[in-house]
Amino acid sequence: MTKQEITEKFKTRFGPDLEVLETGQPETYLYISESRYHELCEFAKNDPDLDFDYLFNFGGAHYPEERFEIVLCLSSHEKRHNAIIKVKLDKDNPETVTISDVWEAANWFEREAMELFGIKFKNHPDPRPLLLVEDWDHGYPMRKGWTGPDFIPMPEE
Amino acid sequence: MGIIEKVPAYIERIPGGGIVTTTMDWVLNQSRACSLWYMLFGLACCAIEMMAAGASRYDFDRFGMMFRASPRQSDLMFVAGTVTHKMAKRVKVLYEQMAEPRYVLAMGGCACNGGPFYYDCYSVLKGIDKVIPVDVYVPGCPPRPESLMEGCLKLQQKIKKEKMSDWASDRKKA
Amino acid sequence: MLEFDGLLLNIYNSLSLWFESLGVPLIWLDLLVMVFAGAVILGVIAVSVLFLVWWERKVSAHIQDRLGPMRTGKHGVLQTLADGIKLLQKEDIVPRVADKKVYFWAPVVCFVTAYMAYIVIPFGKGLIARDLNIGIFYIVAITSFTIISLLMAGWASNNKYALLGGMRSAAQIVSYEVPLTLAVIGAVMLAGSLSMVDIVKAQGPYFWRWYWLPQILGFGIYFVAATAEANRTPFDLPEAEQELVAGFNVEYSGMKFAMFFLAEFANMFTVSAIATTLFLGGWQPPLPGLSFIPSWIWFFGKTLFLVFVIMWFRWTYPRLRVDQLMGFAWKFLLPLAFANLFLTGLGVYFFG
Repeated sequence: MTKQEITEKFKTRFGPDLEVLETGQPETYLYISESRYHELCEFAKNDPDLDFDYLFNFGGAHYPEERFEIVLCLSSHEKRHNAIIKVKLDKDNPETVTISDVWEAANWFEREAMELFGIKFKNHPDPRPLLLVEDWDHGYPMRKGWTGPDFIPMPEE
Repeated sequence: MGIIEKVPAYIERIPGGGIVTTTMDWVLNQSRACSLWYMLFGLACCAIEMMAAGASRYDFDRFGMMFRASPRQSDLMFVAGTVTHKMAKRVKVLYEQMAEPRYVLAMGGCACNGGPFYYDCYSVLKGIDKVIPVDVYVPGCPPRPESLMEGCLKLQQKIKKEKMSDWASDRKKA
Repeated sequence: MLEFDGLLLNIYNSLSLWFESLGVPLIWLDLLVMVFAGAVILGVIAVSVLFLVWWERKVSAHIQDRLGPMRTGKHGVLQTLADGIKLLQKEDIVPRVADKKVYFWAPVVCFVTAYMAYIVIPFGKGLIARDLNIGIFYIVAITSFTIISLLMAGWASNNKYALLGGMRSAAQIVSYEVPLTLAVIGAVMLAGSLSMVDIVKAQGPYFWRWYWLPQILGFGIYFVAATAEANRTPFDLPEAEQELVAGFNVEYSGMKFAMFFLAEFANMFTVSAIATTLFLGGWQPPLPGLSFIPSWIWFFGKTLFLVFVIMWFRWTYPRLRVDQLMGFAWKFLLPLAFANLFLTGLGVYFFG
């Protein structure tokens, strides 16, 4: 399906809670509100025309003093189209539901986001830390403005 | 074990005993330097260069260096690649499992002092010498096999300067 | 002209006369001869292992288009010596949770087993430490001891990977003992005796009469089973696991490891020596006209050629998986060995 068709499909279902981001890229970029996030993921996976069965990337983002964000990168093996979904989260207490019941891959991605950003995922089946040292207690490293022991920021030139 | 360590010091005090200790030093040092068995500890990209150095074109076996997988049977540990904080604990465990006399060669920028990950990185240990004692540093990203060989030859020179009378003194390695 | 058998016999006779003149019973002379023979065998093992370790590194290097050890002595001939002296200087680590007695005795058992098999190998005409009349039977019995030492090493390390490696290795050796013994029986049937010297003599002086030709199937089975017995590629999954950090040697360091290392090469030499004795005519030259070259040179030449073939196998064939290894022994080699035995029996019955 083309970029226009995908965007139309999402818009007909999710209308007011959606916001389309115009980049020059060939993929669809969408903002979805946090309340309908899980519903959109299920729709994207189960709809026979969209058929997004492959979550190939998932990350967090931190805009200091504004918001946190979650970025999903979806792809379809049969239909060969991609879409990028973004969700805006609260800047002081970022939390949302888990989508590991839709795509299994989200399990580890969400563990990473939990550990590095501090975004909480409700109903996550396995909320253990994944990447950092076992006895890490110096905060959430990927937030902007984080410092910790053994962290040497790039000197201003 | 304490008496054996003091024997070279006593031999040196006998007139003419210096010849015995220097000859024994020479024999023992040569055997250790010419037969360094290394343990591949390839963590990242430098591991490829290390494998290339052990392969056909730049052969390591010419110097008698053979590849052993178990730390108990190896003398030299090449720390090749980026060492994260999580890995640093395991590196220390493996280093302590090696049988003495043992040597460490830090290969590549990341093992020397953190390399390209020195600034703005939360998870990389800035240099493997923060957890284990290093004998030779080989900089490069990654160092060419010839550089790595130069590092090994420097290590051989360092080994050949060791003395038996150091066994009882405090100049021993940890 | 460089043969030893006449010389040794003369020395023995003169010593026995001297002992009689001194009034000492001859049993002391026999004891002295036995101790001396044991010491000489130790020397033979030491020298052959020294040579074989160097040769393995050189052969594998040249097959891989690189040079082996070149710096230690001219072309690396002193490499094994350097390895040995270095291993003597290593710290002897005993894991705190290891079974100390078993841990200590495993390398000793391994080396002693390898040593005991050399007693009945005929190195040349009259150059055998003890010509037991059950020679080949003794060797087959002794090589089964290696399994005990592997299991001891794997168990005593108190390390689950070492135990797994040791058990796999033991299973492999036990499975390949059976076709090996059956292949050996074929040659014994043709010779009519278990004594090593009799088997060599029964093969006759011409190389087309040696047992590799009538027993070509047996020779093939023996050689394949022997490669598996010595834990060499393509059957070296227990040893290659060492390259992947497992295998029964993983917790050994220093001189104990050197014992295992030595015993592996000694085993390789033993199985090649047995193959030479049983199938390639032992110390005899291929044609009687070539007997100006001493017999022990023929023996070592043939044995080293077979060792070279074993080393050649290592860098030619990929490794077999454990289940393929066991399937090969029990489902392929064993029926073939039985068929060989049957045909040999028929041959002996009908053609005498």
